[in-house]
Parts: sequence; C-alpha cells; structure tokens
Amino acid sequence: MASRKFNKSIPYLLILPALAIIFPLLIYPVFYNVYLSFFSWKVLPPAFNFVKLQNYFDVFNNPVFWNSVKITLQFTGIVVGIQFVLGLGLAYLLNGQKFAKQTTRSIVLIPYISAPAIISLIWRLLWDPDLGQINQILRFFGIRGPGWIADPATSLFSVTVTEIWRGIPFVILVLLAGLQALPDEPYDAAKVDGASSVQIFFLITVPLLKTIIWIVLLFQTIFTLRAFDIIWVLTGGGPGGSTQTLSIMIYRTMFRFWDGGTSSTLSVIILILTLLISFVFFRYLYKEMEV
Amino acid sequence: MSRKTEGIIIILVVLFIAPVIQMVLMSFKQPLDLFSTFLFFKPTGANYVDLFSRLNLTYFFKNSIIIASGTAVLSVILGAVAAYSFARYNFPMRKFLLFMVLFSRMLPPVAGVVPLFLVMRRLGFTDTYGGIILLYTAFQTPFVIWMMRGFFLSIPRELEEAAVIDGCSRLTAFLRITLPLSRPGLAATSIFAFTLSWNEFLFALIFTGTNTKTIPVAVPELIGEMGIFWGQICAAGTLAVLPIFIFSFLAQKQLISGLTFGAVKG
Repeated sequence: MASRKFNKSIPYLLILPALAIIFPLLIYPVFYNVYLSFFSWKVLPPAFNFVKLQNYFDVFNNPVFWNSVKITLQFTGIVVGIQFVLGLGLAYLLNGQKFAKQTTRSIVLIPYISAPAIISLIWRLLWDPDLGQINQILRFFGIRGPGWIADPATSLFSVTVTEIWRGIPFVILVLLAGLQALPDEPYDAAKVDGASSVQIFFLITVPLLKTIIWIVLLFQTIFTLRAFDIIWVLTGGGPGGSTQTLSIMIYRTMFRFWDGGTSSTLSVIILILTLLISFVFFRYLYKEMEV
Repeated sequence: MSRKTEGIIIILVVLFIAPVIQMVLMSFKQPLDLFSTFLFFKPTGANYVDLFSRLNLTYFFKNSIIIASGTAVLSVILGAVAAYSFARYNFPMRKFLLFMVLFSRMLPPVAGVVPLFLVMRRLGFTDTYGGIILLYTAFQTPFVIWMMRGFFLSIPRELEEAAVIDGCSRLTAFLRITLPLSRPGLAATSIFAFTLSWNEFLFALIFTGTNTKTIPVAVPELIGEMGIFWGQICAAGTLAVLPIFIFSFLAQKQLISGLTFGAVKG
C-alpha cells in the first residue's frame, strides 16, 4: 500500500527539483513585482511607502512614458513587419537550394545565435559617422552620410536596421522549415491548371503556411518588444531619449535613478503587453498539447 | 533550381554575413590598417595577444565558461528529469504544470529586474558563480524540459515496457535503454543551454561584478575613456562568437526547434 502511494508520487518527485528552481527565481518575482508597483520605493535615499495606484497615475501622466511607448511600438512594428516580408522572400529563395544547404543555413544563423552585445559592437562601428564602413561606402559615392546612432533623427532607424538583421535568421529558418514540410500535391495540381507562380505563392503557399506564420509573428513580436541588449550597447537609449524603448526605460529608472516603484510599474505594463500577445499563441499551443 | 539562383544565394549570404566577416578581418589588423584597408593587409596576432596579456580577458572567458557550463549541466539534469516525467507518466496536474513551465519562459526577463534585484540580494547571490548559475538555470530549464520531452516522446515507450517485463526495474530500464537513446537529444539541449547563457547580457550586467563578470559585459567595456580599442574588441568578439559558431554547425536543427518550443521541427 505504501509502495503504491510512493509510485503515484514519482512523477511529481521528478518534476519537483525543476520547479524548486523555476518557482522562486522565475514565477515568484512576477507576483512580487506587481506588489512592488503599489509602493513608492526608492533605493537612494531609502524609502518604502504604500501608495496604492499612485505610480500608475504618475506613469500615465508622464510624457516620457508615452514617448517610450511610441518608440517601442514603432520599433517592434517595423522590425517584425520587415523581418517577415524579407524573411519570407529569402526563405522562398533558399527553399529550392541544393548546393551547400546545411552550410548556408548555419552561416545564416550566425547573427541570431551570437551574443547580441557583441553583435551590437560590430554595428556600433559600422554606424560610426567618421570611421564606420556605412558612411565610408556612402562617401565613395559622393554622399555625406548622417550621424546615424549619434544623431536623434537617425538613431532609431539605425537601431531598427540592426535588430532586423540580428533577428531575421530566426524568421528565415522557421519559415524555411515550414516550406520544406509542405506537400507536393497542391503544387502539381496548380501547375496542371496553369497557375502563375505569383498565384501559387499567395493562393497555395501562404495559406498552407498559416500556422507557422502565426508562430513566427507572435514570437518575433514578443522578443522584439523586450529587446534590450542591442539598444543598450548601441545607444543606451539615447541620444536624447530617441531610442528609449520601455525595456531601456525600466532599466534606467531602476539602475540610474534608483526608483524601484516606477520601474516595477513599467515592468507590469510591459508584462501585460507580452501576456496579451502570448495569450493568442498559448491558446493555440494548449490545443496542440492535447495530442 | 538554376545556377543563377544558386549564385544569387551565395552573394546574398556573403553580403548578409559581411559585418561578421568584417569583425574577423579587423581582429587581425594593426591599428594603422584598421580603417584604411579592407581585404589586403599584413595580418597580425597582436590584438589577440593584447587581449590576454594587457586587457586580462582570460579572466572573463574563464567566468563565461564556468557560468555557461554550470548552467548547461544543472539545467539539463533538472530539466531532463522533469521532461521524463512529463513524457512518460500520466498524472492529474500534468498538463497544467507543463503549461506553467512553458508560460513562465515567455515572461520578459526585463520585467523581472526589480524583484530579482531584491531577491538576489537577499539570498546573497549577487556577484557569485552559484547565484548567477541558479538564475540562468531557472530561465533555461523550461526550454530544456520542452526540448527533452520531445526527445523522450520520440523514443518508443514499448522498449522500456519490454525491459520491465523481462525483469528490469523501471529505473534500470530508463538507465539501460532510454538514457543511451536520448544521448543526441541531451547533447543538443546542453549546447542550447550553454549558448543562451554564454550570450546573456541583461542579468549579467546587473548581477555579475568584479568576481564573475562575463564576456558580453566585459567586451563593451573596452570602449573606455582611453578611446576605443577596435582591434582588440574585434578579436574578443571573434573569440566570443567562435564556440557558438561551431555549435550552430553541430546542432542547427535542434536550435530552431528549441527556440520555438518544438512548434517548428527545424
């Protein structure tokens, strides 16, 4: 009898060690963070007072916050949009490739699996107004390039291009995996019916890839929304706050101004944004898990 | 596919990867050649020598290796054990717990910096190998669980059951049959966990200090008041990317599958 009880608890005992580490360091902080957002909480000088929703009112009345939201949404929208369109095109191109297939894919993956902090350093050099290769190339054509990351007018553009480049391998390879798994029959039928390649692409390939396209868009949106490394190393949120996304603002509010309450409040907001988006994905995944 | 398309692909790939090629080339250039030449220069190893003699990067590489391997070993052990339970047992809370594990990994790390700062400080984890390894493990284990669950599911359950009928205990059946068969999965998952920790920046920036600082935090600091050591930065960057580059050749399919929680087979 005792041994049967033990057998029943085996599956839980096997999960327990993993949960023992995931819970305190991953799940508990989320709830603790919500709690902290109801306090006016500063590290220097130390203060900790319950202020109800005051932090939220302060944040919503802060133009810097709204500017940061605008930058975040702009950055995320453009990055994900361009990554998707370019990525789909490139995946389509790579799909028919026969020569050095695996090598090409491994090379394409490099920007994505290299440390973003290191990747940003290369780009910091490329974008440099004087020494950078981008302006050197422009100079070759007789164009005087702008200040890129050093100029508030072009800094967000530079950061956006860098992030598109860094993240696109994921989009390409996921879509490519989807393309490779497509059945042949609809294509054979379409060819017999004399469909053009544009028709085939939009009327057969895209609908068949629907699920994978969803996955890619949701993942990229969630990951781009939280982007930190690239922006921090390239511009630190500057110049003049022109690249200060919510992630950068959370970090700076905490570790530059030591204002824990406001930082937690911003964290709750980015969390809610992420949850709304991942909810869609998880509803799909939860259904898949039935199988 | 025509020759022409293959040619276009090669050109595009080379253009695409040009920034990385540029980094590797610059790592072998002397200060004078850095910005004046592109392909044709007399290569030098001075930047690499500098890294270890003058800038003391050995220390940061050591930290990165300790932390990334520690995380890989710990998260793969904890994660694989949990994954086995999710793959082989049927218990009431199974689906809910699996869902929670996955869900926790979708949370944006940056939203955890304030509470984690307090938690890590209270536990005395700041600037210790153990602390940062435990933190990384908490973040990698959900990935490991998801990847390893897939691998275990792909090994027929009947193999184990046959062994049990032949008189093996469940544990022996696991150790003799399932474990050896899942070796490629364990290798790929370890590589994956290692890569994520090796590259991690945000938590390293906050929770590592003089004792534990890792490469992604140390290298950008070479941009200092004394000017920017581009040659050395490129050398350090090349060394930092090299192991990951090798891994991507070894486990490219699993990387894609792991990054999408197995939603895409790669």
